[in-house]
Amino acid sequence: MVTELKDGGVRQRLYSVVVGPNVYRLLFNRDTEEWWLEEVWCE
Amino acid sequence: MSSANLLLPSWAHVDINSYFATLLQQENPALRGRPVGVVKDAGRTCIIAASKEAKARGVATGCLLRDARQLVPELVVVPAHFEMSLSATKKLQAIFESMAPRVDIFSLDEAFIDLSDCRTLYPTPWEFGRQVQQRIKQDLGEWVTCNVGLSYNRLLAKMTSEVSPKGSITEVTPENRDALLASVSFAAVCGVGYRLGARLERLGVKTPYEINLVSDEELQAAFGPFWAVQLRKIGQGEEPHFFTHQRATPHMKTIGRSLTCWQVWDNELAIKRVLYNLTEEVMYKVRKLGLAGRWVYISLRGKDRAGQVQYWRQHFLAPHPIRHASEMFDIIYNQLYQSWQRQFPVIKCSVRLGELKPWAEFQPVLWPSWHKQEQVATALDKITQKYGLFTVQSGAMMGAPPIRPEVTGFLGDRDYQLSRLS
Repeated sequence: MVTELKDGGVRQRLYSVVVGPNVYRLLFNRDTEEWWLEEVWCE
Repeated sequence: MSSANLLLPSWAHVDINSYFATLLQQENPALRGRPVGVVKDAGRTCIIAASKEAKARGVATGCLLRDARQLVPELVVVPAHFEMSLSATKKLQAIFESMAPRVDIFSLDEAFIDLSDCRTLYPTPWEFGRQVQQRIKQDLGEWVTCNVGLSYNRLLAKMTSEVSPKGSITEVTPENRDALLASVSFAAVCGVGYRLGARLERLGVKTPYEINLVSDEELQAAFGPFWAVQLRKIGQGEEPHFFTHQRATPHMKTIGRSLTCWQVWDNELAIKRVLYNLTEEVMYKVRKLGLAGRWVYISLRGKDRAGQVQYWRQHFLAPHPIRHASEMFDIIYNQLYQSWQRQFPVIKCSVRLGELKPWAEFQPVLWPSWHKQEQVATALDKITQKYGLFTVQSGAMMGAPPIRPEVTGFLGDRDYQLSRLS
C-alpha cells in the first residue's frame, strides 16, 4: 500500500510493506531521496 | 432489480465501509477479519472508528475503549493514520472523476456522483455501481469494500447506502421509496441530527414516512416554519435544503480547529500555547484558501468537581477582516479567554473564524501595522509552502512540539485538504 504525503513542498511517500507476519512502514522523501523506517508491526 | 427512469436525474452515493479501520486492515493483513478499534493516538481511550467485525459485535464509533473491550475482549486497538486516509480519499476522488463528470466529495469516505450525463457510458446505474466497486478494489486494495446507493435524488441514494449490507448495491425508485422511508430510523437520514431526531420521536415519529401522518399545523407548531417544510420534504423522499445549500456555497464559511487532549489542562501556559497553535493552523488555512473573516469564536469543554460536563463559549465580530494569527489570537486570548472565570479544568479547546469571504471582496485595509503583519504572514507562508507547516514557530508556542493538522471523517475543511495533496 502506498500513501502520498505532502507538507508544504515536502513530498513523501509511505510504503507499507508486508514481509511474512510483519508490516514495515517505510517513508521515502522524494526530494532528498532518503528512506526512513517509520514503524514495524509485529505480533 | 430495476434501472432508473430515464426522465429522472440519477445519483450514486458511494460509501466506503468502515473507512479508517478498513484501510488499516488493507495495509496490514494480520488485522483482516479481526475486530479492530481505531483510536486517535496510542494511549487514547475513545474509539473513533471500528472495523466491520467489531461493529458486528456492538462496538460503535465514539464508545470508550473499556466498554469496547467488555464487548469484545480480543479487540485489536490501533492508532489512526489520518494522512493514509486522506491519501486514499484523493485516490477515490481520482477514480470517481475518471468515471463521471460531476463528483461531490461529501466526506472523507463518501461521495455523490451525478450519473445523469453518463447514460451512454453506463446503460444502467447498476453497471456504474459494479464498475466503481471493481475500480476501488483495484486501486485501494481487495479488502476495501463500499456500498453504492442509487436513486433519483441524493437523500434517497445516501439513505439506502447507509442501511444496506456491506459491499452492496441498492436502488431506490418511486416504487420502493415508501418502503425505505418507512423502515429507516432518523440516524440514517442526512440532514436530521440527533436532537431533531429525538424531538420527532417525542411526537411519536420514528421513521421519515411517519412524518406524513403529522399535519402541517402540528409540524409548524413543533418545529417552526423552516423545519416544517424541510421535514415534509424528507417525509416525501425529496431533498431538503441541506443538499442544495451545500452546492450553493462557493467557499467555506467557517474554518475551525478543535483539540481534545488525553488529560485535562489546568495550566495557563499550556492552554495559551494550545490556543495559539490552533489559531495558527486556522489562519494558515484561511490564507491558503484566499479568504478572510470577521467572526472569532472560542469554546472550552471540561468537567467540574462534581464530574458534570461544562462548556464555556464566547464570540466576537471584528470590525475589520482578519487574516493573521496574531490578530485572531489577540481576540481569542486577550479579549475572550481572559474573561473566563476558569470554573473547570479544560479537556477540549476549539477556535473558529467565521463570516469568511474571499479576501479580494473586502475593502483594502490601510493601517501600516496591518501591512507589516501581512508582510510577515506572506513570508511565513512562503516558508511553509516550501518546507511545511510549523517550520518557523512563534515564541507563543514556547518551543513545545506543534500540534499538527488532522483530517476528520466529516472532512469539514475539504477545500483545503483536497487541494493540499494536488
